[in-house]
Amino acid sequence: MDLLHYFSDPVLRAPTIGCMLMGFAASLVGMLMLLKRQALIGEVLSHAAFPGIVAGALVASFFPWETGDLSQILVMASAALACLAGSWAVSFLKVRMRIRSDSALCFVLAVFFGVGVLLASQIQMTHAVLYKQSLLFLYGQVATMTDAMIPIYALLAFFTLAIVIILYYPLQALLFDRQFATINGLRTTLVDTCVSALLILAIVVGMRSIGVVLMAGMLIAPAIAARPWTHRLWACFVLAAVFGVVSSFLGNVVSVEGSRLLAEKYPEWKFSLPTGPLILLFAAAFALLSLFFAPKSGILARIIRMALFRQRIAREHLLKALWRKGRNSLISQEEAAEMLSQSLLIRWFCLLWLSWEGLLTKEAGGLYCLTDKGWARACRIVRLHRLWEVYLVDYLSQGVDKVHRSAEELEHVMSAELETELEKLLGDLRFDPHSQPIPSREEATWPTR
Amino acid sequence: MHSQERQEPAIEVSHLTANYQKAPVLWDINLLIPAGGRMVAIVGPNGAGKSTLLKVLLGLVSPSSGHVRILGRPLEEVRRSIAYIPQRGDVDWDFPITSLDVVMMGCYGRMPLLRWPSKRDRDLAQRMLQKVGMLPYAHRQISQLSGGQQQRIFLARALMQDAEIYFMDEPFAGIDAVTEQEIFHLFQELQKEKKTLVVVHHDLSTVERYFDWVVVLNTCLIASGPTSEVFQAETILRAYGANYALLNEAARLKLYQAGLP
Amino acid sequence: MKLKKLCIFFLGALLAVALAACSKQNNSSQERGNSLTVWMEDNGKIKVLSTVRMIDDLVGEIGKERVDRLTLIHGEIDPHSYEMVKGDDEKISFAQVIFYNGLGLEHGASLSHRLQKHPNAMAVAEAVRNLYPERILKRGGQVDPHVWMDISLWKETIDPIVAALTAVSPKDGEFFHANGESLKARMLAVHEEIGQIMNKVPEDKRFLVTSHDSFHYFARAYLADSENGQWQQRFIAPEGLAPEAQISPADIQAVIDYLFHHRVNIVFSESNMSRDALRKIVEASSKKGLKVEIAEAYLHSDAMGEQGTETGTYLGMMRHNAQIMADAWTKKKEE
Repeated sequence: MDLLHYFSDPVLRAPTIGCMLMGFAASLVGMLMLLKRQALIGEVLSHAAFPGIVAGALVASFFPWETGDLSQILVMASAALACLAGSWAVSFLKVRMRIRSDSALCFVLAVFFGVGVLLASQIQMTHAVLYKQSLLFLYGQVATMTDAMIPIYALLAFFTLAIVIILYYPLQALLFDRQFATINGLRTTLVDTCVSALLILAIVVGMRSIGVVLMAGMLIAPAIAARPWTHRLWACFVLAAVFGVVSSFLGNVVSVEGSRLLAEKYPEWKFSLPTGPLILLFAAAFALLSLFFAPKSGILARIIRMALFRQRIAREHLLKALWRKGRNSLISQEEAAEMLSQSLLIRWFCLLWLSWEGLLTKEAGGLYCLTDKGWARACRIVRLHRLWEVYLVDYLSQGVDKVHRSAEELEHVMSAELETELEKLLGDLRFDPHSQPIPSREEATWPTR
Repeated sequence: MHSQERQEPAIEVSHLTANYQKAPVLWDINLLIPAGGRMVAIVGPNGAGKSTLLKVLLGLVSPSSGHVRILGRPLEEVRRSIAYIPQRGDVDWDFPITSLDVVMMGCYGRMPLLRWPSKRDRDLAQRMLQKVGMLPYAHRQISQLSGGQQQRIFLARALMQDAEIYFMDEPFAGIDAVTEQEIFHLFQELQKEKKTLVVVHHDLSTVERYFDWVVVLNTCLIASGPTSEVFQAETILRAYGANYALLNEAARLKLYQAGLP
Repeated sequence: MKLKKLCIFFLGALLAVALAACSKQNNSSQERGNSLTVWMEDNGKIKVLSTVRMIDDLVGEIGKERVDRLTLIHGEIDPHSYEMVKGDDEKISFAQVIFYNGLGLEHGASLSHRLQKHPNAMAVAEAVRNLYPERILKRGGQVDPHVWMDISLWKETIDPIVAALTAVSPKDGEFFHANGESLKARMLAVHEEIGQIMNKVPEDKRFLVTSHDSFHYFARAYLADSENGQWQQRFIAPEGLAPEAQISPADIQAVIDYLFHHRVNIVFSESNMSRDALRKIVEASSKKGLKVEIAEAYLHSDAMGEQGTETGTYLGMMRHNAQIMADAWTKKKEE
């Protein structure tokens, strides 16, 4: 499977390169839409283009030439007009008629697409071949893209990139803080117009490949895939573009190799994996995987963080309980279970981790005992808890009976800085509000070598 | 063109009437705030139009009638000379942007289209962060900051703009005493540089302590002048009293009749 | 904004032209409207509704003036994906006999549903399958419904049609039967004729490439190798049985491999299908070193030609297709 020939083979290069360029442009524009919090507008304008497509096809039928490139241009131009009309309709409804954003979007999508379907069903009877042509733009047909389309897509990608780069700083200001941008004269109308123009351009040029219906997905999926990975704006754009391009490439590869494989395995069946939907499936897969696996904000990361945190709380509770029992006390697994009141697995894991950290040792008879290091750690935890209680009572005037609970929750999230601050504030105290002894600083320190 | 030399008033408002969303908010305001380093407080009861006045001055809301002059010119010509810190920014907190990036936005107004911020701008931004005590948080994403810290970032951004007039909407609301003091010190520094600060202020008890010029507002202009002259018990009572309820109601009815939503 | 007004003007103009284009076609639909009123007249003739013209033509030859005919899917409309429109239900209810192809040709859900449930509807191709199940082809696990492409097979529909018409009007039974027999004879004659036309073309030229998988029966009947009767290699198309599906570049590649393997220089477009796939094939082939062109005249597969022309009759269409192919293949040889 020579991947390079996807860029050289006359059959494959136009679909591959064209789709990759389309993915590049669409993902940049989609990222803009996502950051603008107007992700749905891409969907609405894609569907609003449909009546333009049909009308354009009809107008093209008037002219005597064969359905060639010129009629495609006509169709694209009228689709662009329809998109514009849709965009204006949405803002008219929102601004003049004071209709809510989601209602306006739904309305425009439904009405425009309905008009398109009406026109299409009319020409189904009268211009059957043109009807087929307009379906081509609705669903796309990647496989029949020709080399002539590569420069057009390259132009689209270049234009999109150029606008994003030129307007990068005004865009950043506008998307983040619109009021600030307006007050500072950052040409908000120009930027808005450029962004809308880019969106319409992406839809109209891209619809020949992946179709108008799937275009909305291509706008949004790479952006969603990119967002959880970074907090830098430029990195968002770069990642979105990468996901867009890679999805397009993979879609093409799997469409060809997959079809071949299936044809070999099942020669009587005629399996054909269409490219457009596969591209979108890859983009969606990337989005799902990102949402799940991204570090820090991904779902998996959050689950792991939570689990680790709960584990730590359980361990620290065990240490505290052992501290209360006394310096050289021993506990068995069953007693630990009682203290922790957690599941078998968590208790076992706690004991394992504490032993591994060197805070517990296993004595004869399967009993556990605190080491010196463990004792120091336990002292520290208790010390922090009780210092917090002092703080809450003396400085925040909380009731003595209430502070224990709060301190329970706070003791686990103590950072080193907060600890130092607390100690600085309270000094070296001996007793907490409940007249319980506070372990001293020395007891709570494990000497480091 | 220093306002000090030419004695152009910092802000001049004549016959300003404005509606905002559903209510008539300002009625025939005539206001003159002289230049040269004043700290101006705009006070009044809730719904008096204080925020709206600010928005009209900044060009965010168009008045129904009347006009505004900032430093003797229309707003369009002096945008580089004004800065605004909103109450609780209507910004996208999840936006991929760090504290330093936000502060650097202060220089975008000065930047022509194809330029990007220079090293000098970056250094200046860091100095501004230092000034508000937020330099350690320079690379944090803004949603990871507390409310007070976020306010400081926006303050740093405004400082970065090096404007002549600073507009602020209740900067002391919900701030602890220590931060309030720090912010006030920054204001005093600005005042020393002969900058004008126009602040919508909610706490009457601190007006005399901080501000040397007061604008008392309740849809109409009740009073405007140096604090010592204007900030009297009688003025306050007039503003916060019930007399203006009738005018409010009448103005609202007029709008309704005129068919405005 | 001036730009806004300009764009609104263009959009309005576009829509106006589009609507005008729709109404332009009303002339031919006017004719159809007339024939519909005639069809619905109470004149004692049998009211027959056919889905496609290929069936309708046969019914005309069999029933002659004793039947009133109407075609549901007319012009260049694709029968594969045709869905019922306003007025179709009245036509179906009104008809005394309905003939449709079956075998999955009319697979628009609304239409196929209606026809399958209808007591007076008969699937003529399915009738042929019942008689000669071994002669029905399958492609990719599905039955190939383009049975009319093989005249010898299509003539097997005559008996079921005659039977159906006789059931409605027994007194005309003899009449229908006689017409049917003469039609069979004529069809066999054309069948032979086409066979001869094809035989005149040298075997190394007889490779057919069109837009979709409609010519398998044709290939089997007329393009087979003379010695061993192999015909599977004689025909390929990029799109499958139903031309509304999406294809993959692998399909294009398969056709191009075929062209190279058999040194084919000419491909044929179909009257009611888009030429995009063929154009792509031609372009890619030329870049790879094989000069291929699309034949000027197009073939008729799912849609017959205009009424009154040669391709407006079933036999005329078949002969016309064969002639186009033969001309294109032999012309190449001369160059």
